Amino acid sequence: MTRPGFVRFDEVSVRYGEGAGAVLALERADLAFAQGDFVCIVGPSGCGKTTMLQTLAGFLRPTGGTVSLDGRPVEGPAPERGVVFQQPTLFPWMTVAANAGFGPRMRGENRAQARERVEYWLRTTGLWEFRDRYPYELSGGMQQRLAIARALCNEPKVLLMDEPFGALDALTREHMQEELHAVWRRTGMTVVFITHSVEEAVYLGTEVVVMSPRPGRILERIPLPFAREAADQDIRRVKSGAGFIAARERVLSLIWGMQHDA
Amino acid sequence: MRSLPNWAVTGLSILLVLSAWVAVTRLGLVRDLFLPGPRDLWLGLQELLDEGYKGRTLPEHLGMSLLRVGTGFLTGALAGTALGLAMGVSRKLDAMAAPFIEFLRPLPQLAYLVLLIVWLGIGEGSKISMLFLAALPVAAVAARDGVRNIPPERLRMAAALGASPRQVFWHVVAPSALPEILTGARLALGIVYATLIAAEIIAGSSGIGWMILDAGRFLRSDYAFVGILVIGLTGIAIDRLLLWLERRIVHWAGR
Repeated sequence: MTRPGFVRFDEVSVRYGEGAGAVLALERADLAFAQGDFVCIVGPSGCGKTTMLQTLAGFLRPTGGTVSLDGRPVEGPAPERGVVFQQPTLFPWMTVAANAGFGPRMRGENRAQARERVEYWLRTTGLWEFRDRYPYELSGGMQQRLAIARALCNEPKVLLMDEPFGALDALTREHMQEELHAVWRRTGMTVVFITHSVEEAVYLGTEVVVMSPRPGRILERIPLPFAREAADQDIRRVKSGAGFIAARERVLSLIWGMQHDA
Repeated sequence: MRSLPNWAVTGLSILLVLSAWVAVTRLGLVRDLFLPGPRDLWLGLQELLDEGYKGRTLPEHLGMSLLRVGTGFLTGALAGTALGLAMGVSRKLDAMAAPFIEFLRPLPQLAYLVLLIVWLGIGEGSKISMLFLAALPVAAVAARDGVRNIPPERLRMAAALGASPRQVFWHVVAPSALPEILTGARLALGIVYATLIAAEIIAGSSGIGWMILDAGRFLRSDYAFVGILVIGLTGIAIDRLLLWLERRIVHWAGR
């Protein structure tokens, strides 16, 4: 079931500051995509990609335009929009299980139901046997898996990820890409994913949105087949295919082109 | 020496000072009045335990003092923490309360002792108020800074996960500030404990601080020394207890 315009950005502008010193972080961004899409946003620093994500998360109110999810305008943060930052941002005084169950607990959800879902996502992310441990006892990759599991325990309509693997080492990062890809295929959930890694974007995304800086705006949207085709294929095989490399180079040349123009 | 573990060095150091004390007093190099020997102290301790000092035994004096410290510290730290949390959350409240807290914090307690006596008399009220006022600003500043130092992303995350502002306060802000609140409490207790002697200058006839001062006035150096040793060792014990509690409660802090 796909509905067009599940997530919509309509002429969204964000301006920081006033008068001559004002910075236009995002200029009339128009973007709409369907339920089940995995949208990767790439672009050099200052292109407004994080700003865009923050308006969808509800952390930032746009200066102009509207952001909406499933037909309703976004007004402030809400559990229907799960968030994962570059830093895991876990609650250090809570066990792994308590961290994962934080959202359902705050929303006063039925306990048995919540416990079941926490168990499901902790098992899926390989953290079930660590459920009574504390975040500081986990590795960086495990902490970030917990941050993702915690967001998923809320059953969000859309998952917003801001460079979630940016702080991980290369090997862990690739494993996480595979795992996230598997979760996405299994759940068919809608994801908006910001990254600096073009390779990551081309592997995970059903679409890559390329943005350019000063002022931040959307430059080009590129639909991609790999996320839906990859299925159970090995990640290295996908990434070394000729079609994949061509797509990756195309996105890269767009970003390179910008830097030479600037 | 290089291979000696640190606790052994500590032990040796204490032993050295004790031996010097024994030697100096045994050889009669100083008068008993200035430095009583181990035997005098032992006898003094026996007397304080059996007959007491001016109507109260040593444990009774110590008990009175600890009761004052406990009451002043608990009320002061609780009120200070509540105020500090509120100041951390509300900039307006901080702007209102900060000047008084900043003024009170470095103020030597003896400075307002006279006023407290005039206002509250010489009973328990003025003593405990003094300890309360010593604990309050330290606890308030610790709690306020604890709230301010919370990473903003943590609060955003809590809101994004569906926590209401009230839930964010109780489930995220308060526990996040807990390590700094506990460090502040330990600091406050140290200050309250040090203020105790000053509080017990206020006329009275009980408390270990009063006992030391009174014994000194009557040149009973042995009692004064016993009192100092008891108060010092009790202080170390209390601090260790708090440190142990802190490590248990906020084992996750800074990791």
